[in-house]
This record gives sequence, C-alpha cells and structure tokens, in this order.
Amino acid sequence: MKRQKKSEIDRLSDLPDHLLLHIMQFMIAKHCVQTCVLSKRWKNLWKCLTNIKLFDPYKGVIYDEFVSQFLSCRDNSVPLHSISYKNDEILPKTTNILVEIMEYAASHNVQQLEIQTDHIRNLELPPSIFNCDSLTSLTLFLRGVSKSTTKMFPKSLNLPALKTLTLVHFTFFTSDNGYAEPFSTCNMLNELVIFDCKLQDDAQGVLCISNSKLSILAIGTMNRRHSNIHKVILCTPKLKSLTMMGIPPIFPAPSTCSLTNLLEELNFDCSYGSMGEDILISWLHLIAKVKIMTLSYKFLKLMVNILKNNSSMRAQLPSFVKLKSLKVDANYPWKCNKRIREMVSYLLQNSPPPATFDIISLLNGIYKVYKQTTEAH
Amino acid sequence: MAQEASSSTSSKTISLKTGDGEIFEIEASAAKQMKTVQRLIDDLGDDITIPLHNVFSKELPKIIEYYKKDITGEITKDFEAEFVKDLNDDEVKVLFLAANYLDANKLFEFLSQNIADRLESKSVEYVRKYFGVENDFTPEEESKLREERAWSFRGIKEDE
Repeated sequence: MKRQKKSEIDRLSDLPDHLLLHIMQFMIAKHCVQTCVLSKRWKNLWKCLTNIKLFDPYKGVIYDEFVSQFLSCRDNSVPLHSISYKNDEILPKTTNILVEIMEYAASHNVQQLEIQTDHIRNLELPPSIFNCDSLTSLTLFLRGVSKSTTKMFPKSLNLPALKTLTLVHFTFFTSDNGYAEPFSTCNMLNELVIFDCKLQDDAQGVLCISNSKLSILAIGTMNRRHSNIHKVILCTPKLKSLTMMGIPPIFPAPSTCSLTNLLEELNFDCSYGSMGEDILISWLHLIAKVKIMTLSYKFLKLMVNILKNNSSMRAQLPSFVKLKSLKVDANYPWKCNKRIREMVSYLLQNSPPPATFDIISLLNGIYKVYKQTTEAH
Repeated sequence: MAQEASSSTSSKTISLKTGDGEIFEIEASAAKQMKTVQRLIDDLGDDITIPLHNVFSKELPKIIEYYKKDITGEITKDFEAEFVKDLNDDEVKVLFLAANYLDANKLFEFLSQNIADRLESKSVEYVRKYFGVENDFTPEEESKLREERAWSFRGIKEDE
C-alpha cells in the first residue's frame, strides 16, 4: 500500500542533495565533514555547504588546522551564505584563525558573518572584511585577553549591502570636532547593536548615528570604564525601537536632528547602577513619546528610588499618555509581583493606566549579546 | 465562486484526507502555510476534501497543531521545545518528511534544526541508519578516508 508512486520519499536519503545539506547546515562543521564516511554519495557532499558553523559546543577548541583544511577543501563554486565562529576557549598565541576566516569570507562573497571570541591577542582586522559588497549581516564580538583593550573600528567602511551590524568592544575614530560618525556610509543599515564601545577622543564624547533606514538600535555598556560616550545624536528618521542595555544609561536620551515621531518602542534591559538625575529626566521625557516599553525590574526600581528621593524630579514627572503597552521583565516574577505593581503605579502616578501591562521573564534579555557579556564576567 | 459574501477566509476550514483514509479539518489560513495543500486547493477548489497520499493520520495532527499555533502568531522557543520533547528520532523524521511533502516551510526549518541537534552526538552507524544510507565503502576505503580527513575526526568518540 505504501509504494504507490516511485517518487514517494520514505527515507531521508531519498531526499535530494540540497535538502540533506539543509539538515547538515544546522550541524557544526566538524560533524558535517564527518558525514563523508556515511557512503560514497556523502563523501564530498559537505563541501557544498553554504552555511558554516565553526564552533564546538562540546568545549573542544576549533583548531587552526581544522579551519584551514575545511576552507581549502570546500567547493569554491558553491556560493557561501554564512559563516559563524564562536569560541569561549583561549586560542593559541600564534593563531591566525580569525584573520583566515574573515579573509575567506570576504573573498567568497559571504552574506552573513559572525565572529565571537573572548580571547583575542594582537588581532589585526583585515580591511577586506570592511570592504565587502555582499555582506548583509556582520557580528564582531572581539574581546581581548586584556579586557580593557578594544579594536579600532575602521575610519572608512564600504559595506553597501549591510543591514544588520553588531559590534562589541570597539573604539570609534573621532573627527576634529570630537564627533564620531562611524556608520554613515551604510545606507541599507536597518539594525545596529553597539555594546561596550568607546570613542577615540574622550573630550566631547559624541556619537552620531545617521542612517536613513535604521529601524532598530540597541546601545549599552557593562561598565563605565568601557565606554566614554557622553552624548548620542540620531539622524534616523525611520527609527522605531531603541534599547538600552547593561548599566543604566550614562548619557542623556539621544537628541534627534529630525523629529523622530516614528519611535514606538523603548526598552531598558538594565541592571543595577547609578544614574544622574538630569539624565533620568531626559529619558523620562523620551518615555513620554513612546507607545511600547519594556523595563527590567532593576531599572524600574532604580527609577522609582531616584524619584522618591527627589521631590523636584517628582514634580517634573511626565504623564505617559501615549504608553499603550508596558512590560516589566523580572527574573523571579512570582516573588516580586506585588512590589512591581506598586512601583509601576508610582511611576505612572501622573498617567492613565496603559492598555496592557504584563510582568514577564525573558531569560536571555532582549539582546543575547548582553547576556553573553554578563556571563563572562 | 459567487457565494463568498461575508465569509472571511480565516473562518473557513479545509478538509484533508490522509493516506490511510482519515479526515482532518484545518483553517484556511493554516492551509496557506502548506504550499502543497494550497496548490491542491487552487486546482481542486476549497470545498472538496484534499487528498494527501503521503501523509498519514499519525503525523498530520501534530502538523496541524504546529500551524494552529502559528496562525495566532505565537510560536516561541518554549513551544517548539515542548512540541518535540516527547517525540523520538524516528517520529521527528516522519514529521520532517511530511513537512517536506507539504512544503510547509516554517515547520521544515524547525525540524531540520531539531534533527541536526539530535544527530550531533550520535555515532556514524546511527546516522547511517537514520538517513537510511547503505555503506558502499569497503573497510579499506573507509579507513583511508578517515585518515585523509583525520583533521576532522580528531577527538571524536567511537561508535556508541
């Protein structure tokens, strides 16, 4: 009854190559290569992978030799879609693996590149990776052996197709006026995440982000020492969502050179810390402009404490009439449900209640990159 | 098709008949997510029971469950983890093949990832059986290949 038609597929190996590759691409590179011994058909199938995961979740180090062999054996006529490299372990001193991966990616028209490591030493980033027509998504999470050293982000970028950019632990060049404007040539940029980044010149500390298509922005830092950004200027007419991560914001709410009426959503994925009163007031005014907000429990607590201790601030507390949806993210919501509700009432004392209010528990926070950096510490 | 009137597609249901003769109902909006089903609807009309020769009553309910969640816009990582929690490797395989036949992209992607995860820690022999692959290497050929590719076999656990 089963085999009515010859084209019926009831074994996975009846599937065409591209579908087998589809399953394979979710496996780490090491296992993909190992499929070569399954049968003659599989001997070179792995070479056609378009999505490559160069990491080993079993805590093995991906050695230079593996990467070199893998990349050199790969079938170059097959277009490369994505490479992802993640490594928690310490790399050998003489490793060249990161440069090799980046240069391979750039020279093979990669679309998505992700490199994440905690232990770089003396890494010279190859210019090719910042001059790549094909790149649509780039994640560079490059923390050094000495946690205070950062990489210089290039002065000039040529990434015309780039839509998503995540940078951790970089320093941006500042021009003569003390302003840094690192991404202005990325005309297609839609989503930008900047964590633990600094400016070359301390004095002014102004970061300008001017991207006409930017819709999602997340900025943050773990530690005051890691970031010297005092002010952020946005020329981002399409910006819908802004997230602050890490310690509470160390700079006032961004000023905008064009009135961003589009900003709908504000998220504060922040832990304990302190916050200047002037800075808090500016953020409260920005909150008054948005429809949707998510606050971490700790940040809610911080805001309420500052307000309670400062009567002149309380007098300036805006009415959040536009707020339609409010969420509070707490690690143990059942423990502090009542307190959360009390604090929210306090914050909204001049405001009508929002249409929806939820207490949630996002285990990974809003951006994974933040959670990973906190775990490392 | 004069009778469209006030009925919206979201409240319309489509009847699907499995290879072993059972009939299941799904919402038209869920059917849209399964390209094969949608093509059959386009050819045969949406009032007729759509025959799915290669999908059986064991797996179709699970697929319908997935897309029911999907049309309310609620597929979370937790839901996906729950969805596959009690399935053994063979059951996932059957679902995967069905998702492929139905051209149900979201489910297909999710199950590809799940199969890959399940196979990560398995031996070569297990993977062969799972894919239904016949080993056409001679023992000499296989060990020669393993040697050539020793750089990828370093640190692997032998057949468990």
